[in-house]
Amino acid sequence: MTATLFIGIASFLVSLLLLFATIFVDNPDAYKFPQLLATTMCLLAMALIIVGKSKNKELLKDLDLPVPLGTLWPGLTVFLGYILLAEKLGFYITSLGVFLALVVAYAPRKLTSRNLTKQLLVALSFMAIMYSLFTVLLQVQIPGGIIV
Amino acid sequence: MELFHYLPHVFTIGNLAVLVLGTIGGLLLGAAPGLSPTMAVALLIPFTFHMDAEPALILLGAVYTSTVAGGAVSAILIKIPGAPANIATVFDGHPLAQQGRASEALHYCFISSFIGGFIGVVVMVLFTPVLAEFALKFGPAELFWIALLGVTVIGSLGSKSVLKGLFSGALGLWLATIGYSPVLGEERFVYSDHLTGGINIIAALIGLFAIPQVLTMLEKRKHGDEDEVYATEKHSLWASCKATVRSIRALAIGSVVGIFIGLIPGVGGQISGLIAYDQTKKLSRKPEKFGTGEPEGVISAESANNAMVGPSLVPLLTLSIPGSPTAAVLLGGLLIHGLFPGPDLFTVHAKTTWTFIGSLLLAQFTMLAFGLYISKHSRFVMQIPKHYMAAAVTVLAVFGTYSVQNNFSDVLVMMLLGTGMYFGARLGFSAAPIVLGIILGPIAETNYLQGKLIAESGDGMFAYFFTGTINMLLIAMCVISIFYSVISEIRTVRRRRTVT
Repeated sequence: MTATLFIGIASFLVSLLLLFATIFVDNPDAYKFPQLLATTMCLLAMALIIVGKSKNKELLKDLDLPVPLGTLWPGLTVFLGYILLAEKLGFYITSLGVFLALVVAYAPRKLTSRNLTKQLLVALSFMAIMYSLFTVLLQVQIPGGIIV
Repeated sequence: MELFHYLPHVFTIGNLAVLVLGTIGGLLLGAAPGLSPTMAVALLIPFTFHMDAEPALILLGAVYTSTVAGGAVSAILIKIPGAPANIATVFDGHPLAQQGRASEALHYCFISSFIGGFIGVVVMVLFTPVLAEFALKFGPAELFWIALLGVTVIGSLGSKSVLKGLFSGALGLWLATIGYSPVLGEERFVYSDHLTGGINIIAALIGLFAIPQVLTMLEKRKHGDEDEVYATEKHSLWASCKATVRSIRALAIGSVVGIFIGLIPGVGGQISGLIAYDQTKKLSRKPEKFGTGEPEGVISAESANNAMVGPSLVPLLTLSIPGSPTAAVLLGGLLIHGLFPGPDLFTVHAKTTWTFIGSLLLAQFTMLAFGLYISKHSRFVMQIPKHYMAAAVTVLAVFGTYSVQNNFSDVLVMMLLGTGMYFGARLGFSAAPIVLGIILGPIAETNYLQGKLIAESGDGMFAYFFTGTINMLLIAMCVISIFYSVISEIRTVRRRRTVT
C-alpha cells in the first residue's frame, strides 16, 4: 500500500463521517454549506486514492511514522493534567506545575538538587512574567482556583 | 496638504512618549503567541478611557502597526506565528533561522514591514476618497470570490501535495461551520457545550502551530538529540537593506496585495500575507526555493501585512466600515472619544484625525528602529534549551488562548486541535491551510448565503455571481491559481522522478 493511498482512504473515511453529520439533521437548509464542503472533501480524498494507486514509489515507510509515543507520553500526560486541573487549582499554580513537570521530565541531565533549584527558579521567574503581563498589564481575568 | 499642517502635533513630548511605548509594547505583545493585533488593541482600549483623543489614538495606531510586525518574531524564531497575519512568514522565516540566519530574517522582516507600512499609509493619505469608493464596490458576490481565491491559494501552502493542501483547507472551512449558522442562526455540530461558540480563530492558530511544535521539541529532547544549536551569524544591516531593496518584485507584490486586501471591508489583513506569498512564489524564477529559507518569502509576506494597515483604515475613517478585525476594534476606540467616522472626521476633528494619520507614518520608523534592535538579540531566543522553550510555549499558549474570550473551552479546543495536528503533520498535512480555512469559512459562507438571497430576489445566481468586472477578475485569478498549483506539482513530481 502506498502512503498516499493509505492517507486517501483515511481521509475518505473522515470526509464520509463529516458528510453523514450534515445529512441527518432537522434543518437541512442550515447545513447546505458544510454539506458542500464535506462532499468536496470526499472528492479530494478519492483523488488522493487514485493518485495513491498510481504512485508506487512512495511507500508507507516514507511517512514520519511510527509516532514515538514512548517518548511523548510524559508530555501528553502533562497536557491532560493541565486541562483537567487548570480551572480547579487555578492557572498560575497549575502552570507552575506544568512548567516544572515538562522541564524535569525532559531535562537532558540527571536530576540533582542544584538542577531542580535552577529549574524551580526559572519556572517561578517565568510565572512572574506571565502574571505581570496578563493580570497586571492586560488585566485579563485569569481563573485563580485555590489561591482566590 | 493637511497632513503636513498637523504633523508637528505628533512631535509633542507626550505624544512621542505614547508612540514609543505603544511601539515597544506592540512589538512585545505581537511576539507572544495568541496576542494578535486585534486582541492587543482591544485589551488596550480601556487604558485609553482617561486619555485625550490624540494620544489615545496614537497609542492604538502604534500598537496596531507594531503588533502586526511583532508577530513575525515568534514566527521566525520558534515557528509559531504571533497572529494569523504572520502565517506566511513561518514558511521561509523559520528555515532561515534554522540556517543560523535569524537576525538576517528579522532584518528582512522589519525592513519590508517598514517599506510596506510606509507605502500603505502614504496611499491612504493620498487616495482616501478614491479608495473609499473602490471599497464600496465589494458586495457579497465579490467577497465570496475573494474568500474562494484565498481557498485556491491553500493548495500550494506548506503541504507536500496540492490535494492534501486543498483537503486541509476544506477541513478548515468545515471546522469554521461549527457553532451557529451565520444567516439562519441554527446551531450546527455542537456535540459538546465547549463547541457552542464555534472554533475561535486564535485558539485554532495557537493550537495548530504551537502544540505540534512543542511536541516535536519534546520528542527530539527525549530522543537524546542534542539541542540544535543554530549558528547565529551576525548579519550586516546594510547587506540586509540592499538585499531587501533588490527584492523589488517581492516588495511590490506584497505592498500592492496588502493595500488591496486592506481596502476590502471585512476580509482583513489575515490573508494578505498568504496571498502575497503565494503570488510572489508563482511569479518567481526560483519557486522551488520557497519554503527552504528564501528571503523573498519573508519580504513579500511582511510587506503585505504592514501595507494592509493604512488602507484597512480608509473604509473605517470614511464609511465606518472596518477593513480588518483590528480596524473594527479601533472603531470602538474612535467612538469612545466621540469621533464618528465620516466627513466630520476630516473637518470638525481634522486636528485629531490628521495627527493620528501622521503618527501612523511615524510609527513605521519607530517600529523599524526597535524591531532592528530586537533582531540583534534574536540569538538568545534561539539558544534557549528546547525543554524550557517547550514548557514556556505550552504555558503561553494556554494563557494566550484563554485571554481571547476568557473561555476555557477555547483552551480545550486548542489542545485537541494541536494534538490532532501533530499526528496529521506526520502524514504530510500542514497547519496553514486549515487555519486559512477557519479564517475564510465565515466570510465565504456568510457572503454566499447573502449573495444567494440577493440573487434569488433579482436576476438569479448566474447574473449575480458571474458578471461584473471585479467578479470576472477574481474568478480568473481563482482558475489561474488552481491551474498553476496543479502544473507546478506535476513538474515537481517529474523532476523528482528524473533525479531518482
